[in-house]
Amino acid sequence: MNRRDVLQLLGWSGLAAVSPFGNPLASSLVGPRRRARAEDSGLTYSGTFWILLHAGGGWDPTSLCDPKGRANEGTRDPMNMFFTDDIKSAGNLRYAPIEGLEPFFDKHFSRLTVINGVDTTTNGHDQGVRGTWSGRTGEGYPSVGALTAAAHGPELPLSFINSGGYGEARGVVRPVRLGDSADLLRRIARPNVIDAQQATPRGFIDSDSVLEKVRAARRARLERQVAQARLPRVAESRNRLFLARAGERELQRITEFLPSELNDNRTKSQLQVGLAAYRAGTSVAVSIGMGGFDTHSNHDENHLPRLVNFFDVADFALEEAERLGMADRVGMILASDFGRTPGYNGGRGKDHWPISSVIVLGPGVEGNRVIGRTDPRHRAYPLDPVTLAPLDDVNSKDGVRLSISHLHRALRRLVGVPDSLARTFPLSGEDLPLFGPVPVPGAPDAGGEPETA
Amino acid sequence: MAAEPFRELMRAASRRNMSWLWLLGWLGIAGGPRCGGEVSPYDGCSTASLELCEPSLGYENPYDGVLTLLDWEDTLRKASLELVGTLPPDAHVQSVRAAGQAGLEASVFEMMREDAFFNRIKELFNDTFLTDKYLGRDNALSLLSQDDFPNLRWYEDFGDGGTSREAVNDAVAREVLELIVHVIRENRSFQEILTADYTMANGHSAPALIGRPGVPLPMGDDRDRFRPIRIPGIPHAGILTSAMFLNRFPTSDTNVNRHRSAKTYDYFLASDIEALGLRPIDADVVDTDDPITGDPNCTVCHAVMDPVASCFSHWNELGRYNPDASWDDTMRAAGFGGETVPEGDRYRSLQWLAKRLVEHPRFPYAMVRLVFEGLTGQKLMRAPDALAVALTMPAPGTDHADLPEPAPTFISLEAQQRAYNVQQQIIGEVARRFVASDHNFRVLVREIILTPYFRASGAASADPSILEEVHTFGTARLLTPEHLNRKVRATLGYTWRSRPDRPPHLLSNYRIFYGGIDSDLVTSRITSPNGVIAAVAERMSYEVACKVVPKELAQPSALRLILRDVDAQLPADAQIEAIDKAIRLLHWRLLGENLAVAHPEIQATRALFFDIWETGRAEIEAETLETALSNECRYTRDLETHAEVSRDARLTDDPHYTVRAFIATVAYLLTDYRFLFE
Repeated sequence: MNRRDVLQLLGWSGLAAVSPFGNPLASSLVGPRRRARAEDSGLTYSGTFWILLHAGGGWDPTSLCDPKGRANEGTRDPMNMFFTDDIKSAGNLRYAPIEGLEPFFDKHFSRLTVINGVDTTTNGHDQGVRGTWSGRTGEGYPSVGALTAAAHGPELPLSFINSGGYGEARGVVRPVRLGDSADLLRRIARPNVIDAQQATPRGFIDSDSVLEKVRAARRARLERQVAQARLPRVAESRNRLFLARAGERELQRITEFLPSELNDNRTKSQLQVGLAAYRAGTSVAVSIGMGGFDTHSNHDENHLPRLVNFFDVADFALEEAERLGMADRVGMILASDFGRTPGYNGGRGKDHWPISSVIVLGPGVEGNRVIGRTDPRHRAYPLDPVTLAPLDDVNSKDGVRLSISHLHRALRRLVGVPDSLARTFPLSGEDLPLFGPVPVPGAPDAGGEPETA
Repeated sequence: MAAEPFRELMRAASRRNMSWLWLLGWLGIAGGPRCGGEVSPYDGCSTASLELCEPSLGYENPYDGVLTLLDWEDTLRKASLELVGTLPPDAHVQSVRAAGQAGLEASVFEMMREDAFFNRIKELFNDTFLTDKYLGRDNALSLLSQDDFPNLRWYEDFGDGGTSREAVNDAVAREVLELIVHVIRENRSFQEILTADYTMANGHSAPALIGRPGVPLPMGDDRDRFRPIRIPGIPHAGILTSAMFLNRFPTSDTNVNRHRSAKTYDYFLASDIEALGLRPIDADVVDTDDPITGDPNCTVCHAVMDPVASCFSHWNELGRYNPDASWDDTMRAAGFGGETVPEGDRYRSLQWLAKRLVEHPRFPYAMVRLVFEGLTGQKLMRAPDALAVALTMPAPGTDHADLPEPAPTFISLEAQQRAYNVQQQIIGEVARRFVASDHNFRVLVREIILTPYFRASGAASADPSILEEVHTFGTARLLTPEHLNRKVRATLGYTWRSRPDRPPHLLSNYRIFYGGIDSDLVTSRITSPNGVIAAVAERMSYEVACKVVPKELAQPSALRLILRDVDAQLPADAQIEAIDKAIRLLHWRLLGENLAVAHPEIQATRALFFDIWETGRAEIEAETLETALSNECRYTRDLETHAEVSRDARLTDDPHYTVRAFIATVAYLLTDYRFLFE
């Protein structure tokens, strides 16, 4: 059965599009143009691979890309312990003088858009994580990574890889967990092969024609079960199993692109697996999380080394993409729950603060660019909605306050989420030209063209 | 017990200013934390003594004529796999056939006395409390201070390569889960998970927690058995004062126990107080001097959160108790529900809090929610949010050509509201019966199993709005790796692993791939299948069938579970009756389908089997296939011990492809929806 048959079957069941309380399943989100192209193409994705890197716990932008520092040793209630005179720059970007951040900023500044003064409107972790990655602090919205995957390859077997961070998909795609073991991946990629390392590997079922009969019978049985399901929850879970199996053979392709040995660092090895999945044409986005940023005490001792590790991983991803000749097809979003309070508390820590920063790079992103501005105590200036220039008065009621909703309206356009899908999870506010011009009202859907080829 | 060690023990207790009661309790003599068990009206209930069972009133089908429910026998199979991970024994099946619901209830009570049930309960509660993070090495012990527990590392003298260390560590790590199990096993009120004035330890961890260096502590006959202990000087309040719980949900100088407070509300009162603050915070108008008490954006949560947080104020970030810790003046006074902790209770404010939590009307609801979601894999509905529903509906005037295809079906607010009301009514009744039983956990489990949510199997109606409403019924959960591991064992008598001395694949290397958790970095389960999960299931099916089928066919018929009368050395067409019987049995055992030979699904499996057999036989005749089984599938070693089996008991050859035809057929059934889901 090919994917056309799968989709037909889902249509016959009459339940394919039903999911609890109005969250359509992935299949329901496959637009007719994309579906046709996907079916004709054999479904490999070659568009931008989006890496979502989450700093869990709430990072400190003032120790990063929105540096504040202190004037001298005598500064009372300093924002940071480093000195303002030591703040570094790379192109138009300024960053904190923390040893270990240079490789990332100095090497990649020409590709980065740094957005400072993003108001997450919350200081609760759960709300912050949801808001930063979905555009809404309340429950019920998928990660922008899941939306990207739904837009470009909902049928791909590893469309959205969830290796940490905010992995909520709300049914638009099926998030997949991939480990960091190449050996296990090889085993499940060819489930019937006893030992793939052997020169002439033998199967548990030792006849290809028998194996094909088993697989065909399995599909036929599930088709009958889908058609017979009368309880909506049962019908839905059978549909999900059907969709899960529809791409199982494509899993094999990943193993062809895995390095012989994965990096010892777990996060880096997760990135390598993600890149292999993309190169196999089976994945659109990966979400990866690193924790330890919630430093309510001893902030500098604990937080700053984690920032260095975090950007070391980001640098690794870009270097690896370069090495594999796909640097121009990788996009990356780096963000966190929220920011941290101005200055230090009694335990030399920093608490939760709704103002944060987000760093974005990739195709369609203008490099060497900083958007947004915060005052010395890390309060966000309003912006001119057309030019994005900060207004002069931080307390001005004019302009717009850059919110996570604004950010995600722009991110959705950047990553190519079609309006028909975006409308399912509407965001408040207006469109801002964070990553290029805003769409003209009444113009045709600009974001929906697929990149599956 | 010899008198001298006993006297030494008492002297040690005296020196340490220990209560004598804990020692007597530990020794099981008298007083102290009781471990003798309560008499319960459900104690005598069994399939052999139905008259001793206090029956449930059961639940009406709220959609009679629309919703079909599993019959009692099928409910029994589902409950048995869920609660103890086995197929029901004959005694249970016969009891259900004879007495229907009463037989089911008695069977369930019998299951709830098995160790497998208590292991399942630990698994269920760990999904919430996540304290298994501390299993292994000295992960739990490293959280405790030798200053508080001078005998903490008593095992170091043994030099046994870490075996004793892990035994001590894991017992300490499991104190929360063992407390829950103890309360259930001893028929205590489930309120005691918070009000217990003791914690749990076994013969490995008790010396670490209450022992003194060089002083022997009698261990009893069974070192692995957990019993209540009181740690001197600690005002125990069940889970709330467990160092494992307090470390898993830590505090900091500035968080000041608010995280613990939020978790307390969530887990024990089913109240998400952080959701109170969902309205946006405006950083420009936040009172940065004292936002928590002065800014309405913040006080909305903190007025509720902070008094409970203050109840934890004598417990630091590592879960150490310090009665001398000063109160944080910036925090609201310790209290709950508008009441403030009296001065006299200040140093045992968590005990004070625990009493109020368990008397709160939402405590039973929170326990029902936790257990319902654990047993069914289904989240309870939240009250429908009109705005959220409206946001997911097509906007008025939407051109339906713009909608994704096929057009999504939206569930109306009205249907959601009705479904929610029905669910609240049923869940409320479960909670009332739980309370009426003096919070007997076993009654809670029985009631959930009897609800239509656990038993729904189908629905039929010409009215689409009714079908929308019944969307909440029926469990269709992808089995967790733990469930699937047990089900393979229960149905085939084999655990999927590389060798008998290795851990099961689904509990080790494939656990995360299959959507499981590690209680540390991965704490939420994947509940919907994906390509990786499907591939793991497929690999499982081939490996398991390859091991089990040859073993079955090498055994005498009386010892077999699935292929009773099949002869491996005969061609399939020479034993059609035996093969038909085996296929029916496979459908029943693996899928729970009791079908006649003429049933289309039996016929489909049968057709597949013979098709495979003929294909394989033809390939053997064409000499494109060998008659020998692959090394991996040969039965030459016992699957449980890995010991070599005698030459005449082996099965290595398959001259007619009969063995391999069954391997392929069993693999087909092991990846069936009805095997992978419950």
